[in-house]
Amino acid sequence: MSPTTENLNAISLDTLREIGNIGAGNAMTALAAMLDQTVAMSVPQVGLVSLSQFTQMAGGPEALSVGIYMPVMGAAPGHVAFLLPETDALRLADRLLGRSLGTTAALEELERSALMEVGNIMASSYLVALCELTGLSLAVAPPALAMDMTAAILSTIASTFASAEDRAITIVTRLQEERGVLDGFFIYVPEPGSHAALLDALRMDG
Amino acid sequence: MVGMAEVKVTRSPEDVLIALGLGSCIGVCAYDAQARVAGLAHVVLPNSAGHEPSPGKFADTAIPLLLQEMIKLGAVVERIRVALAGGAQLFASGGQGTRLEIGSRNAAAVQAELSKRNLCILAADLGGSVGRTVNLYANGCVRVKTIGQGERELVSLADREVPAGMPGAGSIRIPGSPAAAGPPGKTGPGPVRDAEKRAVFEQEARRNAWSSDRIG
Repeated sequence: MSPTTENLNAISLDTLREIGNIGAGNAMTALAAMLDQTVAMSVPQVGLVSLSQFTQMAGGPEALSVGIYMPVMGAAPGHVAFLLPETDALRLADRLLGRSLGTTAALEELERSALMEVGNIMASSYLVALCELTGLSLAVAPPALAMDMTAAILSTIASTFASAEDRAITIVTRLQEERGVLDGFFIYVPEPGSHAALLDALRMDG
Repeated sequence: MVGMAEVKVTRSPEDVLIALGLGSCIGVCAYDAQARVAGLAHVVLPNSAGHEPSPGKFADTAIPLLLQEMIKLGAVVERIRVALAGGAQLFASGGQGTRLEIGSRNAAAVQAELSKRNLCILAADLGGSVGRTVNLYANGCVRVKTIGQGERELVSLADREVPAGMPGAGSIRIPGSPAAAGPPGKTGPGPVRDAEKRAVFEQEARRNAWSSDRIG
């Protein structure tokens, strides 16, 4: 059995929060550079979330959202996702494709591809920070995009790691573009077996 | 509210069991019209492979648990009718992201568990690429909500209206339904469509099983 999430102490949670802070800082900088706008981020929320609560951790469960999901491969496998309301995804597509705000009405092939690329760049930036911090080798697999109820997107993501665990450590950072154009959540879920690797690399005892 | 991997049952007339935002998960709605016992299982994965103390999560353990809990409230297995919703594949791209394609395997596993027990599936809204919220009312009414199509009634698991205050009003039969007329284990309305669907699910399940073996 891999070390469970039960025996993570407060110091470990703080360490994971710091990991999230630094990762999200990098992701935020990447997003800001792509938008050419200032983006603000919240202090990451780190929590032990049960499967039954998982779908309620970001945004309204039945609200229409766009989720860009990528598995994390390497020494500490996990999952990252960028989740934002559909309206914001349309505006983000406007920005990325050089249209004036409010132009994009639907996410077609081109828009989806652009959004996945943003997700990919943000996730890669997040992980680069983690790699530098921990010395571990981590990379993201190609992104997948879904547009549906927030809860449906989150539960589908959860199903990829649910077989081994009933609860997961989630590191959630809210990213808000300064002018209120975009308000999304960046979610990082290291797999249970990865906590030890991350914490060991930082010379902290799990 | 029935969260992921949870099983809830009720016989209070005001209750509504809700599984919010089913993606690849399956909402298994079960109802005994005579005992007025309703139960909902939010199944996340097809197979426990005997390695988890969390029975609500897997099709092969959640269905027995659901039935057991309903029986505790007075339900009788032979009278229980079922409706299913969920099992979608939300993420369109993702190349080898086979772990995101669990929906069809979930659907196949749930259907197999139900038919093993000769339980009658009156209606199923499965597959596709849309997330669903399913509501099971204590009168057996099953409603499904999606982003595109709003909310609609999928089926009523009560065969007919049993007047309030008259529990157990006679034996219940559905004319022409498989439970009343045909051999058990067959699915409800639109058997052809359901059979086709099941064939597709099984095909996909085999393919996915193959690929997830390789990817782990």
